Order: sequence, then structure tokens, then C-alpha cells
Amino acid sequence: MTVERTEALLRGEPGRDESELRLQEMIGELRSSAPPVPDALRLRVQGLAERPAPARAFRFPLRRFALAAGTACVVAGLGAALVQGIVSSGSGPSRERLSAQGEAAVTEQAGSWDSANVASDAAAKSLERRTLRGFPALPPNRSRLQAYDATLRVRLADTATLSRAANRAMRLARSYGGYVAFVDYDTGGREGRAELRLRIPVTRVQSAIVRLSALGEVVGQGFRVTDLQRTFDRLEDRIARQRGLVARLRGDVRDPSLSAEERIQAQLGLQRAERTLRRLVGDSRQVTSRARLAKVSLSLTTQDAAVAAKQPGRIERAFTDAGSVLAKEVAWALYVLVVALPLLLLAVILVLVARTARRRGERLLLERS
Amino acid sequence: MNEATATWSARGARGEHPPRGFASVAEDHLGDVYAYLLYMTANSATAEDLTGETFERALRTWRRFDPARGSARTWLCQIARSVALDHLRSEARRRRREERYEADRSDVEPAAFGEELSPELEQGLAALSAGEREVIVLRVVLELDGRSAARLLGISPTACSTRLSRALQKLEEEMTR
Repeated sequence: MTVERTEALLRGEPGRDESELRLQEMIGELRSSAPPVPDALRLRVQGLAERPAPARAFRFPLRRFALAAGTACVVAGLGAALVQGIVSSGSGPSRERLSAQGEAAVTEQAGSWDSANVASDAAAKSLERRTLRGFPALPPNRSRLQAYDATLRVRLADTATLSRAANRAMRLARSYGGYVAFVDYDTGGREGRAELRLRIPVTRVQSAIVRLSALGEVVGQGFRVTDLQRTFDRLEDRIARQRGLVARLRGDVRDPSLSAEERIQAQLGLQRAERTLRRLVGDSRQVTSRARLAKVSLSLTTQDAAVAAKQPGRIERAFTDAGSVLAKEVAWALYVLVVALPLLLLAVILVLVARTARRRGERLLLERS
Repeated sequence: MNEATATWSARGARGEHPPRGFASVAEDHLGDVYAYLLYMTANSATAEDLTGETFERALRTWRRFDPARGSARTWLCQIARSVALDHLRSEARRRRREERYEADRSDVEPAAFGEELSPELEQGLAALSAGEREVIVLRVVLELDGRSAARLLGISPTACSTRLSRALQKLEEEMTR
């Protein structure tokens, strides 16, 4: 008999053949002959029901706790991001202090330099007045190798002025002992622009920036210092060790006690060591060269719309900073999730395996009972 | 009406009501739970003990019962199943320990699965395993629907129907032996 017919008979449908009729009769007999409940049992259960309800045992509300904890984490994360944004957006005074120091240093430097190079006192004073505001031109650190990078964006009145300014910038770089690495000049149409990349000795970069900023109206500037001393020191250490190795290998090659094969091996090793030494020396020279000359990127333009980049207000800064903090929090949460996910999967698998094993055990127990 | 039932009803008539909720549920489903455990254990004395234990556990966990998740009868049968499985495990350990399984079996009194059941049906039920009797009592005697019974047994409704069909077929074969 099929499963469907068994279910149909249970629902009360009439049997179709002798076998179904027998089954139907059996079902009817089972249903109508419920075992009577013994009196003692009935009294016992009645007594239970009359007991006062037991005190509610404390059950740790795991789901509620997880929901509350999750909500609290999200709220705390958002709150921390907002607080960080508000706090960091109000860091104007430190920038102003730095800019004032930079201005004083640049003014002093410009004053001492240009007194020898500017024709008149009036021009020198004019130069001092036009010293950059807010440009943190830190003096170069003479005890360490550092890479200086500066960017400057200057607006000129017209293309003729732009042309003169570009030429003046190139002459300036050469007069300071540097050179022009790149020039892109375009004055076609009404507007003009020029992009110059200058290499100027780092000892004179401050003065150069002051002179370049005097070419027109400064609408943007930037400054970056990268310390190269550590890289240089490591290279020098490696070079010293490599020189020692080369000297030793040269001695080995000249050793008369070596066999022909050993001498060939020593010569090959010496060639490799000498190649490595040359490479290291080249790297070291590159580092010193980088530190000797500062990179100054100068953009000249005549566009009216090229005004100084509007400084974001405090609210905008706050949201930007809060957004970056939030992005970091999300990144950390994803990181934790990625790390924890295999463990969670393993836990789920173990739970499923345990459940399957338990059910199998119950089934076997019931079959054997 | 027997004395115990009369007492319970009389108290209700006098206005002495036992705590609502659990008391009424216990009264309504005592027979179902007892029938279920009798079919599981094939021993009326054991079924009686386990029924009492079932209702004790039910009373302790009564506050956690949620009618939205299932009927009270299904809930009580789940507790009864847990109690019965604990008992069967304990019995299996005891038999392994004492190694007097055959002697013990011979001392067990024959189960009466129901009043007015034919001897052939009694014999057939006694020959089935506890698992086979379990599905029969749930689906046939207690008339639980397929989904509720399957959930209680921890299997799918299809597997429950298949198990019932096989159990009934085997019962029929045992009856005609």
C-alpha cells in the first residue's frame, strides 16, 4: 500500500480493496480503544497542578542581549566617528601656528637671501610682504637626507605675463644650480597655462619658492618631506658588507692551493658579488641625488575660475573626518568577520553533525527497544 | 465517572479552581500523554511513572510554553518523548551492565495498549519496536497531523508518512502471524 493511500485512510476515506479495508478496521480499533488513565496517576497529576507555580528560573535572554549589543555597537561606532569628526575639524589653530612659524622662517630667509640679489630695498620689502601665508616651508634638515617635494599654483593676469613668468622660473632654477626637468607650455586661445617641474638644490629650495610665489597670485600650494636617511644608512651597511665579501673572494681566487674547479667557482662567486656591489652603490647614489635636489612643481595659469581651492568649512571637515573614521570601523568589522567566518562555519557544522548524531542515536534506540 | 475525576470536577463546582492554564491543559491531555508513553514503553507501570515525570517537567517549564508555536498537546508530547528517551537510554545502560536482559524481559507484565483491543492487535503492537509504536500512537491514536508529528519526531513530513506506512504494514503482518 502506498503512503498516499495510508494518509487517505487516516483522513477517513473509504478503503478500496480488502487490504485497505483491513487497515481501516485496524485504525478504527486503535482509535476507539484509548488506554484508560489509572486513578493513581490522575490524582498525582491533579496534585501537581494544584502546586504553586515554581519561581521563574532566570534564563539569560541571549537573543535580546545579542540584539541590544549589536545596536549598541552600531550606535557607539557612529557616535565615535561623529565625535572624532567634530574634534579633528577644529584643529585650525595648530595649522595657523605652523603657518606663522613658516612665514617667519621664510621671511627671514627671503630677507637674507634677496638682500644680495634684489636691486632695491623697496623690492625686498615688497617681497617680504608678499610672503606666502599658510605655507609651512620648513627649513631643510641638514643632518639627514630628506626628499623635498613642493607644488605651487600661480595665477597670472594674461598670457604675456604667463610667458614672462615661465621664463623667469626656468632662469631661476638654473641660477640656483638646478635644472628644468619638464615643461609643458600652452597659450593657444584666450587662456594660457604652463606646467614646469624644476629640480633645485635642497639648500636653496626655500628661497626659490619665495621667488616663484612672487611671480603672480598664489592659488594653491603643497609641501611634502620624505626622510631618506634610514634607507641610505641601510644601503651603506650593505655596501660595507658587500665590499668585505668581494675582498675575501678576491683573496680566494688568488689562492694557489685551489683546484681548477674550485678556482672557477670562486671566480663566479666574485663576479656575482661585484655585480651586487655595483647595484648597491648605484642605489645609494640615487638616494643621495634625490635628497640633494628638491622637486618643485609649478603650475601657471590665467584662468579666472582658478581661484584658490575653497577651504572646507568646519561642518564639512567634520563630516569628512567622521566618514573616514566610519570607513575604518567598517573595514575593521569586515576584517573581524573574515577572520571569524571560518570559525563560525566550523561551529555550525559541528552543531549540525552533533544534531544528526543525536537523532541517529535516538532512532537506533527506538528500533532496539 | 471515577473518584479522581469526580474530585476534580467537584472542586470546580464548589469554586475551588486549581491554577488556570496548566491545570486545564493537564486535565485535557493527561490521557493523550499516557497513551503516548504506554505505546512507547509497552509497560503500563513505566508509562505511569513517566507520565507523572512528564507533567512535573511541564509544570517547571510552563511559563516558557508559547501557544503561537504549537498546540499544548504537541508541547506535552515533546516533553514526554524526551522523558521516554531518557528512560530508554537508562534501560539500555542497565541491561548492558546487568546482563540479565532475558530474565528481566520475562518479568515484565504484558502491556495493555487499550481497552477492548483485540488480542491479535495487542500482540502485534507488542512485537513492534518503540519507534514504530511511537509513530502509530502519534498519527493514529492521538490523531496528530503530519506536520506536528514530523516536527515532534525531528524528521520531515514525508519521512513521517513513510515511517507510519511501514509501521502499519508491519503491524498487520505481526497480527496475522
